[in-house]
Amino acid sequence: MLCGVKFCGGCNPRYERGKALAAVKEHFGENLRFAYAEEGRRYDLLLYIAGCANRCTALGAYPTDRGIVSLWDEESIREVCARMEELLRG
Amino acid sequence: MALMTGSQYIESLRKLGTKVYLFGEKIDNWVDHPMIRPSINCVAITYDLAHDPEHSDLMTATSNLTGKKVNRFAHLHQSTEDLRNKVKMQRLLGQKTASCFQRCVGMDAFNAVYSTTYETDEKYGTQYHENFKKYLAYVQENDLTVDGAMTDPKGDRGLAPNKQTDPDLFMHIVEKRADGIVVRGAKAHQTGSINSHEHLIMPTIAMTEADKDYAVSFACPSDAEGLFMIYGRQSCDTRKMEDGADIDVGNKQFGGQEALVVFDNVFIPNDRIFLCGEWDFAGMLVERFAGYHRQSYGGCKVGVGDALIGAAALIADYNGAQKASHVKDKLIEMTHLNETLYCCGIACSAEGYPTKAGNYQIDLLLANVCKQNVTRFPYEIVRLAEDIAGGLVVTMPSAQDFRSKEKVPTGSGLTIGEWCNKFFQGVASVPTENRQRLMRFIENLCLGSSAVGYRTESMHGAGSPQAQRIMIARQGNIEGKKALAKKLAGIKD
Repeated sequence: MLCGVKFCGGCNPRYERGKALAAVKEHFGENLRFAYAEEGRRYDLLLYIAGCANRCTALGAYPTDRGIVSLWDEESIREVCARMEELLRG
Repeated sequence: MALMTGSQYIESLRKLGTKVYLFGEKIDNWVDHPMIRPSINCVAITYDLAHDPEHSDLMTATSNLTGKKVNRFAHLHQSTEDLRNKVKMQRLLGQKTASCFQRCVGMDAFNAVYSTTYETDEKYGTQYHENFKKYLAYVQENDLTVDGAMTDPKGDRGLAPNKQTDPDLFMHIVEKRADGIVVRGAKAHQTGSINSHEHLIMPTIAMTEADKDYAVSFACPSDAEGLFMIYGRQSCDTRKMEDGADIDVGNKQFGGQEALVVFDNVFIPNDRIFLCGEWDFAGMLVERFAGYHRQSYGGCKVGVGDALIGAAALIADYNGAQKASHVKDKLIEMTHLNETLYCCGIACSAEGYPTKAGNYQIDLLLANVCKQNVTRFPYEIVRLAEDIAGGLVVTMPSAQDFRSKEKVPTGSGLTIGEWCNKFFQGVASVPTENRQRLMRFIENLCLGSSAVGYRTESMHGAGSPQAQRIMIARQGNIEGKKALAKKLAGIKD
């Protein structure tokens, strides 16, 4: 399974988004591959990491088979991982 | 060509034959000059972040001219979302550099010239818009940095361009040829001019028919024959020339840059001309460029403000004063002022609208209110930062003193460095060097070389305060407000 990773532009992020991605990757270990999302490419899942609750990035150019999971604060990392697992199980 | 990296950008500057004068001498290797390089690093980061997955969403956009991915600094805004993203990108870069990153003037000029040439052609049947579209496609394709240059030296402010004793005090056409024009004059206070591949020239004020030789807009390479630049001094600039310059510089990596750009009879071919004598469009071009640039300050200065607020909070920690209620309140006030500027930048973007040419224009009234606030709030933020930091910002000995092994012939036998480290310690758990570095960083932004960008540029860049007040008066709809009051008060006349 391949998870696309899309960051917002990071104008004024409220937490370290790179560290949050590292935590998600650590959670999944080798059970899920991650790649920075490219426009027009289809992914099994898209992880959208926004710097704040505004989540201003348009995600229409990133098609997925199983959906998009959004993260916008570091307190939600475990919850986001759980949601990703749920989607991956189908 | 794909988007350049920062390193590729710096190498591209080396290939130019830009003529730079500093301290009365021509500087051949200006790319590596210690006083100039920090400003080049600032522009370079606008290239590097376009490749960074954590920031590319803001730093790039899809060109309406070519359909390709371009750096947002070369983009024509296609929506209010683009206008907002511009401001967000500028805040990001202000946070990353705590300096003026210089590339905004080009972006603002592109958007102003694009819409103005469209409307000029509509009236006069000229070909300026097509000229400009081809030029901008070239800029986008080669990922160039362009200095959008507006401000003429202006001489006697009470006189129109055609009445000046010296006609060169405003950029003007000195010769028209079949293949182009020859121009003469200068542009002053040019942010990032030396670091730009190209110059995009615009008139500096609205003009009358008598000034038609001064109503000129064009583009040329920064190393064009007859073009040279004289570097502008900044407060504390020669600290960058000191051996091992680091701590005392305050911000070693980044800085801003301004220069006087002189055009001593420069030839401009026809396909690079965007206005040539159509005097009644000079005002439109000035108003649109100024509007975009006044919006810009609601992003860039906010990002720099973020860095200064962070430094003020940190120095309070290092001083052991972080729990004092007045310190907490001052940090709140700084944040309130800074976010108010951001509100203005976002608001004038959200209220934007399409021009006849199709690119998006900001709301002029709100952009002028934005800039009017920028002429004031950074000064108050600086005042509060100095208040929190304490007088050491301006009284601390040099880095050489802190490193000195020179023994002082007194009973203790300590070196100068040891005395400095002993007496300039704050909270014991924080190394004195950290406190020293932060004090110098604050000094740099409040009254050192970066104060050029954060203070005086906030005052005069994109137009001095009175220029915004004139626009606010024009756009403020006082008559409409009078009508509201009459209706509510029951006045019938």
